Amino acid sequence: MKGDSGPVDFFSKTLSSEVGSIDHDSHPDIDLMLAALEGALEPEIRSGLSAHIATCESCRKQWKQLAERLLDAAATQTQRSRVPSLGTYIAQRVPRRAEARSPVADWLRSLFETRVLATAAASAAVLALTLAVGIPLLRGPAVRTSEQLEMLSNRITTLQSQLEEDTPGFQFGNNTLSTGEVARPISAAALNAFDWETLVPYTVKPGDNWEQIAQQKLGSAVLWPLLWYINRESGPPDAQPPVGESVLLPTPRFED
Amino acid sequence: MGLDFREERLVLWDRLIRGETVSVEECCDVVGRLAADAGHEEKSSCVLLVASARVANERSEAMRNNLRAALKYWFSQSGTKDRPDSFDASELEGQGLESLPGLYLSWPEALEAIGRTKPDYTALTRITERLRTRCAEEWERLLGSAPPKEIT
Repeated sequence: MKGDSGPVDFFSKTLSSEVGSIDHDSHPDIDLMLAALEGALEPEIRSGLSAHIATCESCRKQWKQLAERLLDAAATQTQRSRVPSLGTYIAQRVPRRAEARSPVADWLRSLFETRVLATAAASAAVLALTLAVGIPLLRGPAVRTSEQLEMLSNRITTLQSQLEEDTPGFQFGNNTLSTGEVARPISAAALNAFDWETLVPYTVKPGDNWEQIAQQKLGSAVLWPLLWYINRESGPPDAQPPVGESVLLPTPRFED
Repeated sequence: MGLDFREERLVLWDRLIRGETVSVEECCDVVGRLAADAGHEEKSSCVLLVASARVANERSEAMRNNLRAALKYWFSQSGTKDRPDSFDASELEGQGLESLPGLYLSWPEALEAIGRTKPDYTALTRITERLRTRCAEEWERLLGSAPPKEIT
């Protein structure tokens, strides 16, 4: 192709000169680069950043390092995620629990076939995605955790309002339960009652399971998926937590 | 981040590389700021940008893809060669201008970088010829002078 002088050379030289170095007055920060790598930027901003990186040697170097680190982190995450994702697990567990033949379980089973739980399942997937990004960060420096938790909390609130709009309540026997009482997987209040950035160890006792630990230590069994998720390296969610070993628990937040 | 004139063009180039819609009018608006005493290289860049936008808005999807591959190919032939040991051109598929300088892609790699797996060497000839024609037209239209001999 190089032998084809004329237009090819013209185009090649012209475009090569377009990306010659520019002495920029300011430079993008790491957060902006990270957002771009996560695909979270508006196209116009993303292309502006691309233009800057293409013409700035130091930013290009930083960009490449960040991209490589993210790739490494993604590879590590894939290795760790041999256990089922939270979303998959919740989706599997709800119908299985329904086999316990409790009225609530029966209702959940029937509800699962409606678009309401389809929304819930989709939201669980979103929740799992959010957790997959957010929860691992809980163990490292708390850089973005608060944002992630806020997003998670908002997502749960949205999910609840969708559920409450779609199903005002249901009957079993002579009782009526509001949707909120049975279909609230994790409430924003329950989530926000704990500091998920400061984790403390708890030694697992014989007979403990995730739900019991969540109930006893966090006061709410519905928090067990989160509890398992932050301890997922200890085994799959179906397995009993390792007796005698430490698992991590969030610390309660105390109101002033 | 304030953009200078070249950066504004690079924003448009980035969008063209990614296969996003870039209208000829948008490019003409930017090129309209070309100074009367601009150098040959800058004039060439502006004309090539408008010509590329014209090709990008043609009906032929094959030609639009060839344009994206050609832009990746030409933009990669710049700067100091800097290519990772484990380089895989297909990973460039969703990426833009930021990843290209210094890669010195071969034409088959440029095709891989837009998701094509068959090395079609004639595609470069076809897109070059199409761009050459468009550039010659746009040079006369935008600058009111005869195009340089490389593209006539």
